[in-house]
Amino acid sequence: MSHLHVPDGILPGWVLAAGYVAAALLLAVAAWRVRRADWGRLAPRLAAMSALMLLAMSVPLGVLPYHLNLTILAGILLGPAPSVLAVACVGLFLALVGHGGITVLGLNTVLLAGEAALGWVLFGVGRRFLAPAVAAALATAVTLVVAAAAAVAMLVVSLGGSDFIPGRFVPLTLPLLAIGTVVESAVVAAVVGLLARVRPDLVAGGAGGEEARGKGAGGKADA
Amino acid sequence: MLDLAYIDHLACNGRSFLHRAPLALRIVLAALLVGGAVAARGLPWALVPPAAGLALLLAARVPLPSVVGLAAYPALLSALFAVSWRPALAPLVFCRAIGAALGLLFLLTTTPYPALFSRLPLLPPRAREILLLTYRSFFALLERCLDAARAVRWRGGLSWRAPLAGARGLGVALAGAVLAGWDGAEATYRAVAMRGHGTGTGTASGEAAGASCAGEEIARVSCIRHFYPDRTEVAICGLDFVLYRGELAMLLGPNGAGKTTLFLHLTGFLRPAEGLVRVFGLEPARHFDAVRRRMGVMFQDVATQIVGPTVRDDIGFGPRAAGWPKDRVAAAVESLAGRLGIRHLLHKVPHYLSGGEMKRVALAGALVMEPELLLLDEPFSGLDPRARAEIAALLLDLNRARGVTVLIAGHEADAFSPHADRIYVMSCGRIAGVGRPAEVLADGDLLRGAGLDVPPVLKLIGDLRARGAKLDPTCDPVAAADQLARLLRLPAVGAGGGADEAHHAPGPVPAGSSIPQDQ
Repeated sequence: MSHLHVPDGILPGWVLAAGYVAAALLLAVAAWRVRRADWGRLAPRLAAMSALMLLAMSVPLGVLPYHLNLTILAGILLGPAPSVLAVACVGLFLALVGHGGITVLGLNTVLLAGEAALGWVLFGVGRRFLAPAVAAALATAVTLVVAAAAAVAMLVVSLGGSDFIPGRFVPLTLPLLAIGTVVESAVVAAVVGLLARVRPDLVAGGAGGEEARGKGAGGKADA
Repeated sequence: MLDLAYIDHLACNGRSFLHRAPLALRIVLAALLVGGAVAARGLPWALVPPAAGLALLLAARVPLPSVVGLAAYPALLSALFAVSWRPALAPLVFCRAIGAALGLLFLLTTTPYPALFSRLPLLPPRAREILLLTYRSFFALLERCLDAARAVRWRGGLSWRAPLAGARGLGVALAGAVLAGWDGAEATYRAVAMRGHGTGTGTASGEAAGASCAGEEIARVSCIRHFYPDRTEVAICGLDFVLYRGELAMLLGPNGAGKTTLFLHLTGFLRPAEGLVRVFGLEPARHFDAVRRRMGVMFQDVATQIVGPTVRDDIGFGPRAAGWPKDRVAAAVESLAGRLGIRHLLHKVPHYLSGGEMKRVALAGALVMEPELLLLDEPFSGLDPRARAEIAALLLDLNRARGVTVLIAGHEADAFSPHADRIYVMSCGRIAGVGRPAEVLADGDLLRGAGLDVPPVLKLIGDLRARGAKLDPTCDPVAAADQLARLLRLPAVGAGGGADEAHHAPGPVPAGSSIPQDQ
């Protein structure tokens, strides 16, 4: 739950505008990074990962009002630039069904993209020393804690001086974040562990991402 | 749970006046609700958007329990924030949040995602493509994920009594979905590439366009070897595979025989590490576009190759990618849809189509560019007898009446096999046999050696021959019946005196024939 499920009409306009500007910049950079990619190859992969994230975010974990994000998994499998495009796509789908407001879409894109990128970096560092599953678990846990802290801090700062009472909001969400971080880390570790055994090319430091960034562009014969 | 599938169902099947209203009007109404909710400064004003949103949802004939269910999650989130506010302001915060959410729900329950994304202004074309592909992938993955989760749960991997083990089980199910999603994505990529996405426009190159005479060899594969990324080696040796212009050939072999690998080489998606592949005299992997423009392909899993938001858009995908003018695209789509009997499906969202309808749509997508060569990977799999017979009749018409060269891959000899001009039998990466249907299908040793079933009619004829009956080997039920009738000196069956027509469904058997196919 590191992304903001903030409904419309809560955050001040300047925060929302700043979120949209930052998201637009991020998307522009991401689009520029994948400009040489073989779009016919990248697009279906982006869509498959987006669909998986959307699926994960659609299903609460049992009685908990918490769902998996899989943004770190997207970062690991796609690489940072394509995963920015994927999270923006997922954010739009979710916002349209009231899963976080449409006005908060920019902020959510920034937060989720940051999550994917940080997860990708941490996984890349971790897998030099650790098994892929362990590296993925640690990358997920650390990233989620950092991203959740950033999200809460952003809320507190942007709503500071208003009638918002952080002392009520944070204790309500903290236990969910803690449980969710453990569950998501375990799930991502299991996914990456299994993929490392059956399709090592997918988790070899973001192999999909490397292809997406152009190294495999035009490689129709490698399909 | 965010039930996107249910929302999609409401949007696609709704019949209210709001569903029929112009999309622009629905977008404006939703925007007014969101804007009004966000801008509301006092409680009375803040009550208007939720009330209006609820009224619009009910006017759109969304059942009240569904409205409550869909609004529950946004309401929960709104309440979470409302209680974190000064009590006097909590109702205002809640009303703002739920009002905006109901506005968006109104838009989505009256507008299918594909229509919304294909018409939203300001979206770059690539963003539209990603959104539409995500939408298609979501429903495919949902099914696969549910299947995987059921399988893992059945085997004890998803138990709430052991949360971490349960998380691991969930991870395994998701990993299965990731793999399925990735494979599906690669299949979609192949389909999209074959239909001209991201490639140049125009006609075939002069080098490729040169050859065109009847009986001419248009494809040849000689002893190729390929290594997949996990270093699995696939070699296709034995006899050469040769395809002649205007013929209808079948490639039979069990799972893992190398049929799909051969297809991927013919289409240029794989480049052999060793050996020769030529299509229209060119190496497909090197001259991908030149070969692609003259070839139509229907992959095994047709759901992955249908990428358009509606059937009409999907069939027009290739022509649009080739830069055809809009009116020419529209005319080609209409004409082909009429020929294939799918005109009534043109407005439909593809993921609601049945298996047979999907095959027809995929076939239309492959045919719209008027290919000289049509490759079909298991076109009859998963079809009921009626759909199978219809597709078979279509393929025969394409080949016999329009001269399209057709190659069909399958893993069993069936009622369609006798209609082929030539049958190749593959086994363990080897072309084990080739010949006319009467020769190949009569060779029980060849079929059994390749791990293929011997057709029941052929088994019957073989058994009778072993007992001394003078019968020619055939797997065509009509020919077999004629021979048996002559042997037994039975009178010929007159028109209208035959068995129930329904018995003829499995194959394109001439009308009036009296021999049931399921004998």
